[in-house]
Amino acid sequence: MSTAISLHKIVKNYGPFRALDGVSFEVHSGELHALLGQNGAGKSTLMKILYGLSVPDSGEIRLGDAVLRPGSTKEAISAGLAFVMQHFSLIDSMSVAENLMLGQLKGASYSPRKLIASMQDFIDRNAFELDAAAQVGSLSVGQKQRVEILKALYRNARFIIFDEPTAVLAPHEISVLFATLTALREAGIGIVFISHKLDEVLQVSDRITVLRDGRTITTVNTSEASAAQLARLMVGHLPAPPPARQSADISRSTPVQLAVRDLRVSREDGSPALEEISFELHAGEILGVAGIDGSGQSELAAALYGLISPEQGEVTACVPANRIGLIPQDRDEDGFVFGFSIAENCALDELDMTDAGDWTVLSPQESDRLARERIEALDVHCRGPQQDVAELSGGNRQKLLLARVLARHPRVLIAHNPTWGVDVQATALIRDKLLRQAEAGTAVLLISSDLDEIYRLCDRFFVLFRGRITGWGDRNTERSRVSLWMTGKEEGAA
Amino acid sequence: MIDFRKALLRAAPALGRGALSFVVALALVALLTTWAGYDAGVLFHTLFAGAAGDGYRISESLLRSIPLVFTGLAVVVSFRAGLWNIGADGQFLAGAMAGTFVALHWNGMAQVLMLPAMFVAAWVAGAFWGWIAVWIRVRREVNEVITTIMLNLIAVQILAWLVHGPLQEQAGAYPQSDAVPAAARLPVLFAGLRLHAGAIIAVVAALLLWLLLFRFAIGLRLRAVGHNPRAARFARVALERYRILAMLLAGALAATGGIVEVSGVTGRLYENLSPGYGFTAIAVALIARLHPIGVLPAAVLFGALDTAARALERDLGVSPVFADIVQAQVILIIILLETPAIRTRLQRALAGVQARMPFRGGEHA
Repeated sequence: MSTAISLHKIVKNYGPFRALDGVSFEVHSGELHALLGQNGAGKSTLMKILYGLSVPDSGEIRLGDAVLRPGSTKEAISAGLAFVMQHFSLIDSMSVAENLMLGQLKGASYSPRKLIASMQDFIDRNAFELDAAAQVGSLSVGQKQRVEILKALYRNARFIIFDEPTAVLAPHEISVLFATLTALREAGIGIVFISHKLDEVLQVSDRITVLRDGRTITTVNTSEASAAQLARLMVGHLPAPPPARQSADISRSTPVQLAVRDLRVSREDGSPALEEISFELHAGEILGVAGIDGSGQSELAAALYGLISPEQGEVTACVPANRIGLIPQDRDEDGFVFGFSIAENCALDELDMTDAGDWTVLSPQESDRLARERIEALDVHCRGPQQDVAELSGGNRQKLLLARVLARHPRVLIAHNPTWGVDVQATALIRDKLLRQAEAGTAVLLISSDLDEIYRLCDRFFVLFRGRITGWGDRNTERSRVSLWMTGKEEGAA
Repeated sequence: MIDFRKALLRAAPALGRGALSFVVALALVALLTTWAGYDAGVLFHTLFAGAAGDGYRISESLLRSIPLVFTGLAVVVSFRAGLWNIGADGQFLAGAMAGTFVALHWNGMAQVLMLPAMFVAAWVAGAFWGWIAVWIRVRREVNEVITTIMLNLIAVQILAWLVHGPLQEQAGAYPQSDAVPAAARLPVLFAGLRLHAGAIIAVVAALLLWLLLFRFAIGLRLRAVGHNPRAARFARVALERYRILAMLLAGALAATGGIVEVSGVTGRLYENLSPGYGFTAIAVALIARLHPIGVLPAAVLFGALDTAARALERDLGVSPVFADIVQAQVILIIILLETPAIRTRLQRALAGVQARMPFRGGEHA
């Protein structure tokens, strides 16, 4: 009989809002248990309680038969729990080996060379492909995630919680992660896999627990579950499929809104981030930018939005700057001022949009009204305009961000991974809005590392690899060719 | 219109916590004093009577808090913009020196011109002192903590040179300037008490800064730059512009404190014009949670502590060192209890106790 870590009848309130309403959940060792639900369903809250980051109002946490003290990460860790969060807790300036050792160091000093050797041995034993001497800051997102997993293993974790682990990964990294998860499970480790992506959950899990509105809807064996049934349980009702996009040719005849010629941008360390980028963005089209994350997409978005000036070449916007909207990839860092209310965040935008001077008077009533408009426009779940944006769930933050951008009535809309870490319904909503924007004549640039999304929404797209365009395609381009472009095999335009 | 009832309700938790920390601080002080062999009862009586026993004592306490309001506001505006301005002391002195210089140099000016001229001179000098630090930060990315501390030292040395040299009194007896003419003095508010019109200026300054930070676009942008410069940049806020503005404003505010102190209290320059107002100001600003209106009660608290400490020394014959210890102890404890990490831990501990209560007799008992 394997041991299990379990939560019993957990209740958690945030003010008048009941986030969890008597939720129970368990994971056995050697089991991969998926926790499925939309954003705001309470998945992350539940796991934070399990890990002791948050104190439940009632209910208990058990390891086997022993009751754990709620709100104690220390106790959770000593019970063998580890938590791989979406935002990694790694120190970029240190090596992989030092990150692994951190918090485990015995004695006052260590020899870097010996440490790297022993950590490399540890990494190899676990069949991970990583260089122990590499600086963490230089690793890809997928590699950093592997460092997090190794950290958990190094602490002899017996249960590992993954919070939306695929949200930050490129397609090929996802398959590597899944192979790792399978290996961990076979080694007897219990895994909690938080996700809102049905196909992934069906692909890797043993059991699935569906959470909706803070309640456990059901727990099923994956082998007996179907995607349609799960979607219904998760959402309450099935989201309508996004309308199919009509022709790909409207772009040719409509005016150019944004022209990029021979753009070259360097990173802070002087290495090239973008080179020889040229394209034209037409009114009413959705132009896709595909590619593995970190291929220069962030720099492209920043350069088009005018935040970094190109080293060479030029970006010509045919619309006024305040009619260009941007949904940045890192919505939490770039899109919001945490600690500010929803109203203050909206006001900051509004000031930019209207080119308001410094001595513009801010009326609280007016800010509240604007915020309410944004909240209602995209059905953002919150307590009201005065709530701190930091308290909103990821999906709701993204909806709010989109509402703010749409309030500009943008004529050029740049969206960078707009559906990352966002639930099914919000994803459908965001995609629908992008399509509608294009239909209304907005020039949309969709930067996405999700190739499905590119195919579903874009009239045409190009692929970035290491800051260069490696190929142009459209909906009829074979995906195998595209994946070659994504790994740097250059080829003629489609 | 501002709804005062609502505002008060919103501020209630913060006020309650503040009061609680003050009580805890006093309790700990009582322990220490008993241990040191004093009678805690007598000591507390002296403390309170010393700070607020009669009109004169209240006036003295408020008088001591005026420079702390100005320097506290200076710290608030710079911290809000994400700049760690440790230089309010230097900016305070810069204002005092420039304003006094004007008063002494053009000592024939009419009162209607004299005070405005002194204030303008103080603002220019203080803003310049703040600007040096932020300019070095913006241009050379030198941390403003270092530059503002260095600028404090420079201001202190300039003051010493002035009162030993060019601005030393005609009599030449002491290292101090001549008294500024009567036209350069701020009027007192009540006959027989030292409390002067600077108190009103201080309240007005706090209100104006609150308006600026929370009711004008400039304030929202300034705070956004301090809170999350990346998001501010994406909202096309020019980061450097608001950093510079914040430091100019901070310098001018602290400088106002300096000239108000000369014009309202001392009447002349001397070396120890500021017993570290600019540093106490950091504690004032933090206790006020960087809120301009909160600076007022926080500064009064510190001002009262200071008068109380003097009363201890005078009435009980307590060594001045011990009085200082009491004062520092209260400040330390309040700050400690107001530290976010400790606050959340306290709240968590309370929540944890609550969480376990209902299940005490539960299924696993």
